[in-house]
Amino acid sequence: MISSSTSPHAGSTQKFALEINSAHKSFGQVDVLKGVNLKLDTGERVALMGPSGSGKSTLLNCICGIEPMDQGEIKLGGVSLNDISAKDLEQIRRQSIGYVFQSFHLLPTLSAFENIEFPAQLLDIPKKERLDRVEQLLDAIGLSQRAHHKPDALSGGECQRVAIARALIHRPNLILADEPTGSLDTDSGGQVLTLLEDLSNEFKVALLLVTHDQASTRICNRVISMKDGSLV
Amino acid sequence: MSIIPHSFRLILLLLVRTTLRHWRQKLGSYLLLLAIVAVGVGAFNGIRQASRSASANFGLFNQAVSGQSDFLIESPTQRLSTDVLAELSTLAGDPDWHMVPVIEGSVTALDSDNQPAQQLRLVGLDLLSLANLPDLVENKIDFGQDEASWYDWLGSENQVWIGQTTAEKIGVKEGGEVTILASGRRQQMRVRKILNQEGSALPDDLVIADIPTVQSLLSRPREINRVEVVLSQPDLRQDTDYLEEVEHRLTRELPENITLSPTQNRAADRAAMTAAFRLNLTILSLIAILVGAYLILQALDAAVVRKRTEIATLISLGVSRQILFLTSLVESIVIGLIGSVAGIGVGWFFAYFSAQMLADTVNALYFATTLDAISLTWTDCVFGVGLGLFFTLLAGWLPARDAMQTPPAQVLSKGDWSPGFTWLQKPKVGLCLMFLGGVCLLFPPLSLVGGGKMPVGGFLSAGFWILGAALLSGHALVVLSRWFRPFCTQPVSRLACSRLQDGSSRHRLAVAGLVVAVGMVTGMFQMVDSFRYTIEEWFDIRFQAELYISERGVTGAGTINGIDPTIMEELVQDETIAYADVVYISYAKPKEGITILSGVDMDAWTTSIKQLWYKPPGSFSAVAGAEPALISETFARRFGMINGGVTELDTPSGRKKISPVGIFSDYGNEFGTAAVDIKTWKSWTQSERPINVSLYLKEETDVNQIRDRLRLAFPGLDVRNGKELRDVALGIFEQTFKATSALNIIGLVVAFAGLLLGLFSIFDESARTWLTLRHLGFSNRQFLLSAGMEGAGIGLAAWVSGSLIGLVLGWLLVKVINVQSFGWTLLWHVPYTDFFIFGILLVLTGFLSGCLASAYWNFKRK
Amino acid sequence: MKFFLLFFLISPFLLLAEWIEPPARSSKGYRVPTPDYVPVLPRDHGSHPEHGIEWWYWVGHLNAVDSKKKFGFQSTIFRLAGDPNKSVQSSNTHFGHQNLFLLHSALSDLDEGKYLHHERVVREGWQASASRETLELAVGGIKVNLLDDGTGHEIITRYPGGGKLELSLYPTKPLVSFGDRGLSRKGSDPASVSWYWSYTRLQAKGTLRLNGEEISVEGIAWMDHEISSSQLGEDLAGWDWTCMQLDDGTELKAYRLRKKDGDSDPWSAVYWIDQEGKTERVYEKNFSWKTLDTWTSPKTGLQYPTSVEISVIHPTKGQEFYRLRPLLEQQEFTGNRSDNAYWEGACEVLNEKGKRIGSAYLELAGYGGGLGARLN
Repeated sequence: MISSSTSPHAGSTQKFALEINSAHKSFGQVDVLKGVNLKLDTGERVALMGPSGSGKSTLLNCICGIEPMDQGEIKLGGVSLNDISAKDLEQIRRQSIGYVFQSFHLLPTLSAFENIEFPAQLLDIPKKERLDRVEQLLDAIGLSQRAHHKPDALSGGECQRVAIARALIHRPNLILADEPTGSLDTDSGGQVLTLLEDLSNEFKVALLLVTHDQASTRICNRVISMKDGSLV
Repeated sequence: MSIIPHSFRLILLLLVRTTLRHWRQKLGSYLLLLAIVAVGVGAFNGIRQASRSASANFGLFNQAVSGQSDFLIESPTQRLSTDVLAELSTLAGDPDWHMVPVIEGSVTALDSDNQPAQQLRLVGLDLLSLANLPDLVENKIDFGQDEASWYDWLGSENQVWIGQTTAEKIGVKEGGEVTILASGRRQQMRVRKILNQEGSALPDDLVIADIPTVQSLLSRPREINRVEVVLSQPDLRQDTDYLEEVEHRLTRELPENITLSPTQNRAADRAAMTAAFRLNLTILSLIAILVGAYLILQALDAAVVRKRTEIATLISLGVSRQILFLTSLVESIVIGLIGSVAGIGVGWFFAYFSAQMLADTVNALYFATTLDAISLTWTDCVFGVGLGLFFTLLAGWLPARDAMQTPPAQVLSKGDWSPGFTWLQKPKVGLCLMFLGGVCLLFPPLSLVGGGKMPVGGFLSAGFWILGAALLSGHALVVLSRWFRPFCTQPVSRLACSRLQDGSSRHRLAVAGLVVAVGMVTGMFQMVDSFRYTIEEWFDIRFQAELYISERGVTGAGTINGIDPTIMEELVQDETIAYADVVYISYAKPKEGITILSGVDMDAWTTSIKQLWYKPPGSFSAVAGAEPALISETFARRFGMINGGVTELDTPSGRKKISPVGIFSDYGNEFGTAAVDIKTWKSWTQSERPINVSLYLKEETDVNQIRDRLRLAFPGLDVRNGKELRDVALGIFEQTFKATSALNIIGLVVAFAGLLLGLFSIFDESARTWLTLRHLGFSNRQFLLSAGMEGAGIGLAAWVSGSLIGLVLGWLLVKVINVQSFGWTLLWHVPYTDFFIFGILLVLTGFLSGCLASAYWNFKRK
Repeated sequence: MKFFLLFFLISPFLLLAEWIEPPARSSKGYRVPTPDYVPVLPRDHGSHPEHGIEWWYWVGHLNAVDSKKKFGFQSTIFRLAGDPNKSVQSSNTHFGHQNLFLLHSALSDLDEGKYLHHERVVREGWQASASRETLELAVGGIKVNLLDDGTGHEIITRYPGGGKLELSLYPTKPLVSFGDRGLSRKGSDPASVSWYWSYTRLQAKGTLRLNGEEISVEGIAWMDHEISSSQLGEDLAGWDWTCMQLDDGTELKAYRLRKKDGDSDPWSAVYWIDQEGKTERVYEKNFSWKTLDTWTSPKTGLQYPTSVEISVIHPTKGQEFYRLRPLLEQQEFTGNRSDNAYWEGACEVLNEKGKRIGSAYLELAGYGGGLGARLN
């Protein structure tokens, strides 16, 4: 088993945004995660690379609690996901995590504004604050003018920017970004990465960026690789 | 190798490798789809079979004993004086046929507490000469243990023969006595023998007796109903030349004012009498299929969407679009075929449960009937499967076209591609259909063989309008969601509302399917309610007497038996009576079909008796040489006398002319009634038997006390006060709409099954959205709630559009279809409360369906 | 078939010479025919409803006037009264229940070899009536009336297929009354007697409608009218009966009552009617009935002795032989019940040399085993 905890904050007493200890997961006979250990500091940006089938997506699903693990422990903001009820898990997921998908996954029937607002509504954040935050984020992603367009009226880059804003609206500790530039051209991809970096700095949010693209790692503090279910 | 077998092989390959596998994956959905086709076809076939079983029999109950007859000798009133027999005796001596005089009537058996227990059909036959009949020679029925003592069992005043089941039902053994009410009298019948006919049991309510016995029990001493003619050589029945010759020989020597017709015509006559009724039911049952077709369209389209990637890949691999189109169609055909075959079974099941209901309706409204066994003919099978196939093909056509138009994989890979049905999103087609519906209103009604009328234009309008409304309902969904959107601030409601406002073709189809059902149900609501309302109004005006007296236990059109005139005479002598309005009724024969000739006190009817007048007496003067009559609106419309005129009716005293002096509203029958003065009626019909009497009592009398006294004095008569009469009449009324309600329910059930199916595929299609929502922290509860709200929204939109079209349909049913087919004007009455309750139920059911579908979907995903 | 109902009346043994005084009423309460009664005509041609059983019977041989066609016919009406003590008087004239009527009619088309027959059972009323005053019968397809001029009577018989025979019958001899003191005895029971009146030779003239063709016919006929009140008994197997109309102007009536043990009943008899209508008779021991040939019915499988030789000792003329030969084999009357089938048909009479000496009708009943077991 290999540990890759070479973070500058290793050993400190500070609460980690994400802490994974000996995560094991198998689908039938296939071991997908074989004792993964990983810690992300607050505001730290980590790139997770690795070939297809190495277990990256499973790891992300386990982190956000959609996929239960077989063994090991995951802590979000110091809270272990192992011993809590499904309801609390949903709550933690809502509060602590923002998710950015390769193909944006905006809700097609909601406008950009509504898409961004949605997670905040799920957390019952008071209306005024919610709207302020949306305005702020729209401003930050440069789409104030297109706030009321539906996803099908936005370009891929714009959609992903909306998705990033949506991932940040509830001020999570951690953003999980699964190939966020995979569906975008180079220019749009560059803009999205810059946005992620800026917002991560601004909101002090940790970022776990899953990518195939070496260039994408430029915004990250460190790069780790995954192969056959283990971090290398 | 020719192209056809190659294509065929390819289609087969696609079916086996792709279609069938999808079926396996979505077994539940496909089974539901098959169930929908089955229910649609089943409703149609079931109604066909049930109404045939309930109304297509000859109504010649004696034939259970005397066998099939070939000709009927009848009079226009369907009653014959026994004097006619003397005139027929020479004809009766011809060895080539047998003449079987029949008298029949309805009696009520009393239980040990002297309460009416069962209605029995009393049929009188010449039991002795039955022995000559070919059928009796073949399957001998013994009427007495010792046949040599025929004089003993033949001459009795009260001995009857019943079948085993009847005996068990009324709990009597051989030699036992049953108290009955007949003709207004209480009498005893002694069961001489329980008949056990090998192979076939007698109908449940049949009582057989010698003609004089029945004449005495029914107090109709010099009367029979008809004479049946049975060929001596039954094997010559197939020989049309022979039949013609026999008919000629019989007609040649027939007495005046007596008609002879092949017995087979009777089935046709009776079928014609109920044609409008049966057509209404058929059209209602077609609606179930129509809704079903919508659902199939929806489901098959969902399948195409689901398989879109696969289809695109197949196209990019070089499978031609035609092959894909055909494969899709074959899939529909297979669904149609399996569903329809199952539907035939379902139809039998429906028929089994609804036949008695229909028979009751036919008995109440048209003529005496019993249930024939439910039979399934080849025509039923062909019709059912044909209809099922037609509608599934129709429904499968659009998705198949849709599948064909899928762009190849490389195009598809760039993003989702689902054009949906663009025509569903354009109001043009819907508006066109609405317009066409309006045009159809201009068509005049079609005349039917039995004298009835078929409002073809009205039905076409209804069809077009329902379809149009279904198409336009998608827009209602969008508009409604837009209205509601500002109020939906919560994430769940916002999501649901936004999805509805988006108005995908799937959502639109789900609404459309429901709209058809809702429109139909609300339309029928109004018709039934308008009917009830009108009848109540009619009651308030028409029935102002204190007491109403009729023969006890006899209800419906099937049994015009009447009250013994001596009893009536005795009754009206009662000193508390200020005025007795005695009414006489018999059948009469117009050129086509049958109508009702009534005898009333013309002086009172034109002056003091209150009526709901369509045109009050004095509106016209009677044509010279014709008998002045008050005619019902139905009669007036049927014979084109709404503005006066003259028509001819055949009576036992020959052809008579009548001319209206006024037109009254009557909702009792659809054959029309013409009322002439009692004296004329008696001389025309040669009968003395009244059907009922309304008693106007002297002032300061206690109505119920007199009622009770009369009840004791005349145990064979039904004596009712106004309220009781109203209850009985409304009871019959409700009975007649039972079948309609049953069909409404079937339509609704199909529509809800469709709603479930539709919602399920909607959720299936939105899989990615749900996944995103989960990542965003959407809980299960929120997911169910959102789905429920979507369902509720669909329900609401369907209710709004459906109620709107329902209102139009209600108007159409009341103001056009009823007037044209039954000839009566109803007061249009909209049951708003029912509408709203129905709306709430619909929204609730929509909500539950949404929750259910999403829960199931969730379960499947896990 | 006219013995049909009398079939069971017969007691097994009786001293034939002995006079037995009949009672006034039978055990059932019907009137019993009285001795020395001289029929009053036309009243006694009519119905006698106080008596239990009555039948009218016509047979005859007809020739077409315009062709060589030959026919035989049989028309029979039975009347059976209900129990006089039990049956209620009904006012219903159309559906009575005091009298039941049976009708058998048959037509033998001797040239074509066809045999038409017809049976009905009807109650007194709209389908059957018999006057008490005169010869006026209307039972199903048979109607009989006296001719207006009093010279004879008319009978109309309908056949299946639209056929109809209308005959005027003129007696050429007075009415013959059979038996001792006007009573024909059929058994040892004192009440087993009947009035048995016959027109043994009637001149027949009329038309026959057959297959749509109207044929003028003429010939000779025989009519029986028998009235009795005796009830059923059970020890006979059947009977053979014949009436012969000889070319010399005399007639013969012969019958053999067959017992179950194969013997003939002692009341079996042969009657001769001379040119003036006077009768002579001998009983069973003075004649023999020999079967010459049989015919087996393809329809019922029954075997009938259709060719017979009757040898009889005439009281004055000594031994005589009469051979009967059917003019058509298929003259089997199958009624509504197959076990009631019998054979009754037109025959010719030959002498012992085989020379034709007259025509006859022969009735062979009880060859089906269960004949007459029930009313039909």
